[in-house]
Amino acid sequence: MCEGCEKFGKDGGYWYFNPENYARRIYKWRKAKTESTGSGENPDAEAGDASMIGEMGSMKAAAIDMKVLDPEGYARRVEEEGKTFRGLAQVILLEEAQEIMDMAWPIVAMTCTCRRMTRGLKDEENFTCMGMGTGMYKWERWPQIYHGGVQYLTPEEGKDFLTKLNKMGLVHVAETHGAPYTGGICNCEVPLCAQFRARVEHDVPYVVKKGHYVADIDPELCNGCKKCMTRCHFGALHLNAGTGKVTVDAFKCFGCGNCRTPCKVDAIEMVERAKMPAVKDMW
Amino acid sequence: MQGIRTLPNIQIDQDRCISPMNCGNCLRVCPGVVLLCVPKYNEKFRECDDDEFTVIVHNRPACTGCMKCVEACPEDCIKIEFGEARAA
Repeated sequence: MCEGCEKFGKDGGYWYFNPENYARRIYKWRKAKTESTGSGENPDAEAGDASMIGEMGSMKAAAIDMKVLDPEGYARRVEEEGKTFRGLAQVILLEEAQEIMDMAWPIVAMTCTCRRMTRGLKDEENFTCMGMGTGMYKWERWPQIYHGGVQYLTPEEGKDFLTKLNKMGLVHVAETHGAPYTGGICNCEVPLCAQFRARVEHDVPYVVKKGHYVADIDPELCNGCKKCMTRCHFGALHLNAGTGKVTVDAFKCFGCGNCRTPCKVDAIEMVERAKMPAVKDMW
Repeated sequence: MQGIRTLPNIQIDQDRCISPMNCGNCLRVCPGVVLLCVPKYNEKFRECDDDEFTVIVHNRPACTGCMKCVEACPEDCIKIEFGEARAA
């Protein structure tokens, strides 16, 4: 079973559907621990973009160099940091993200710090991230500290916003800020997003978990149009040139459901990871 | 595993670099996303202004030596040399 659901789920449900994880009072818990220490001391503390090149997201340059210069030391380091890693983030389907829109308040669109860091996108052209909960009032309250601003959305607008991002080809991720306080839905891509870079490129398995689903393509229905292949961030889809059909590598699939969106013949179904014995414990 | 990988030595002349949030040419053209733009200060309760960002070399192993960033830089700040080769 998924570790997040085991720890933070309610009545056997998925952790991101447990309303308690969105509660304002646990945002306070997080604050009590972090506010006095500031960044650097506590991994839960956040200090803007610079904290993204720590263990939580991508990795520090020296650590990445180790991959080449000292692969064994690198593997040890990743394992060591994993022992104290307390974050929780998981890939979710569009429908699941939309369901969360009815659970959390307020909902905002905000600037994506990963894309700002990797491509230098300015705040106003970069509203692709979503935040939720009481922390979203800080832009309003301290505009001199928090730049870029946020745009408040109604649940319906939030759902439309997610649909738009999904069409762009982004992967939705339920994100905690000091687990289990769930404060955002990241809309990620490879290789621009820090946590996916760490996971896919730098072999850090714990920063973001695979979703509860795996894509399954019905070979009868697939017409080999390859539209799905343009949308997979994880290299999980292959065109079998001989048969002219696309197949899924379930071991690589993150269960984001991105491939479904453009499929004209509805050949792709998201099946529960738990029902696939070989991948049911691959998170 | 993947044969021998060569790590580049990438140097960015910070004195001549226009702040990346106002230029960002090098960031946008890099296919391997080697460079990052990060705030100069890492302080809680203080967000950096647009001109307080700086370009750093983040992911050296991903650099292929295509030199797109070198060509894109209006101030010729970036120097890339391939030196040490290591087994990956």
